[in-house]
Amino acid sequence: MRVGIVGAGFMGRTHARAWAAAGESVVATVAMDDGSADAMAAEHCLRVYPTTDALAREVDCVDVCLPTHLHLSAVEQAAPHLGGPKAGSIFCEKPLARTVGDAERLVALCDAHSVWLGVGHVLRFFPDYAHALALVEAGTVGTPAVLRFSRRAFAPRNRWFLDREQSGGVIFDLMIHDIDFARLAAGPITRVFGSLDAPEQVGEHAYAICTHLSGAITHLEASWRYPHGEFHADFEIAGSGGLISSPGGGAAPITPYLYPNFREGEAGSNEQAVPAAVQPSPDDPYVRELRAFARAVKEDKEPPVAGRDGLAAVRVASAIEQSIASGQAVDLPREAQS
Amino acid sequence: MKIGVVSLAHIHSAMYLDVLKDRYPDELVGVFEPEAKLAAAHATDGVRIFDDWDRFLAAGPRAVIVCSENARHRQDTLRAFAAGLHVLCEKPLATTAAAATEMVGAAAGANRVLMTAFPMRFAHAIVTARDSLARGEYGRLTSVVAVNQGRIPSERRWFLDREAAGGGAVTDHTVHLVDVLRWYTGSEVEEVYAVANRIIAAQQTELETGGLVSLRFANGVTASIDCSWSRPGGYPTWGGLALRLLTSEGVVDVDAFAGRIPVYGATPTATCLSDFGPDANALMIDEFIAACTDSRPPRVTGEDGLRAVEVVAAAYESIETGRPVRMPPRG
Repeated sequence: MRVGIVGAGFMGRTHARAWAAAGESVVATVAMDDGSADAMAAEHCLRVYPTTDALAREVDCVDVCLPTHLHLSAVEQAAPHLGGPKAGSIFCEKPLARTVGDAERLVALCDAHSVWLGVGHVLRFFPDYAHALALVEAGTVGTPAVLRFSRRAFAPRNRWFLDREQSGGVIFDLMIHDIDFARLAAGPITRVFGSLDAPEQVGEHAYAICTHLSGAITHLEASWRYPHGEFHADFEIAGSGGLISSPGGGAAPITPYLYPNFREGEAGSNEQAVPAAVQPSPDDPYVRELRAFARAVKEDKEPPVAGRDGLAAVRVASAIEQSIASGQAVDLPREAQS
Repeated sequence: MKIGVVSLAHIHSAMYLDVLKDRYPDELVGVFEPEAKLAAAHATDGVRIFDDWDRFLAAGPRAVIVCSENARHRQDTLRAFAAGLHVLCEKPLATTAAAATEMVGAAAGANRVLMTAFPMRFAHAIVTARDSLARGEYGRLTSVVAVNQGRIPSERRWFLDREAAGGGAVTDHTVHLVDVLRWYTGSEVEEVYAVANRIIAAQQTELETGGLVSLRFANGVTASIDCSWSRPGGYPTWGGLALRLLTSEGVVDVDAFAGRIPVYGATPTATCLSDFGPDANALMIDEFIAACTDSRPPRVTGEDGLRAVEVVAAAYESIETGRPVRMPPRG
């Protein structure tokens, strides 16, 4: 599969490495005003196209790693060139779109052009979360009853992230991972109530209480309030037959505690100089995610995280946003639940 | 000051008796427990059991700790006040706001101490974090994510009975954190949203076993509370209580039960967590006895218990309607 990546920020660069590890060829990218695409192109020997439209003509798959509010326009440019005999595909980073309307149009466009659409809800491919889901599906906790998912980090420094109009803030950036996962673990969500704590000067923090069609209830927490460099994620799923919870820091099989300037030539640079803790599985979640997507597309099957999954997560995130704005609980319309 | 315990119905009666035997052996007169079955099942070595109220009074208590079923707190407390006794009442103070209001009024009328048993007000981590917050070391509190989950208290059947308990997990586990949060914020709850279900242990009770509550305080702080009985029988301890404080300066995690040592037994079921550190129950009882002796209001009052009961009532209204509920204005 010949892949073109649109967007050369953190996620674009992550995907460029992951596609290669997944055995697919990243061949092209699109020029960015900030020059970021040139650096990525140099590292991965990519051809740089002036527009998404031009890139889409030359590849089988367009991977959209742009800021959230730009996803729809990228897909509008790409989808017409990927359908038909080419049987192309689009992989779109999560969240699928900033608004329900955009997400619906994006999914409809891909449907109209018969282009497979995959969405980057990578959490499903993290080994601890994937294992937890397998346990739930095997009936280990019985019927899920009370679920908690939490994702907490420092505030991003990119300006578009901090503009809630463009990014949707911490709910669309972090909570949406757990919205998708909660839907997998306990089924469609029918009602939400959200709370956003966004004081001046520090990152925002949100929680939401969700009711599922099954009767299960879920607490979601997402934070940008932490000091720089902190990241924490945890979960628990309590059901009629027991409880499972995230393994926490103890799950890392290798945790280095090294001086930050131990490497020649990187003295004084605190970021990225120290190797991170090793994850409990050799499979990188991004590699697993993109490999699973590529396999489905090649078999002409719906990708494992499909457009409708991405749309459903955006619907829940938007309902939480609406609840925060109105102070009321928000019911999701029946058609939005599946 | 002589002190006794009213009823062995609540599990905590055994803990309180341990504290009294340990710290106030000469003041402990015994337990008033008219139910022969309860008295037989939960008798404690060296503690006298009275099945007759007048004979209990004749032993000379000046104060009692009420540990009866939630729905009996009102009558047991009113009877104690009528006899001129001070009362430390197990939480929740009552099963209805009307009953709790009557108890608070009766304490004032009798000029006796009414304290609500909120031991978390005396727990080391909770007190220390509150002091740091009050001194401004953590910045300004803006939001809280809190949990007070536990095993279903099925070893005492009345906890699972609507009439005796007043409600399930929401009744049992919301009040501690409501009280801590009122203390931390110095503000009152203005609005409550809550959801609940009965998926865990559905065969054992008609009451809710899972619950999530969201509070908005008058000063703008929002807080969520997980009050679920979501710790299964195989969980290595009864449960826990913890808060994540979101502030203008960052995040502070507070775990009231961090002082626990894992104990791995010879069999899977023998694995447990063993608590260490200061006993909040003992400090709470010290404060009650000091307040009675000094004739001053205790650090946790009947009003504090009443406010928590009002929030629980609002939570049930929200569960019923599916909407956030404004707390009624107080006169």
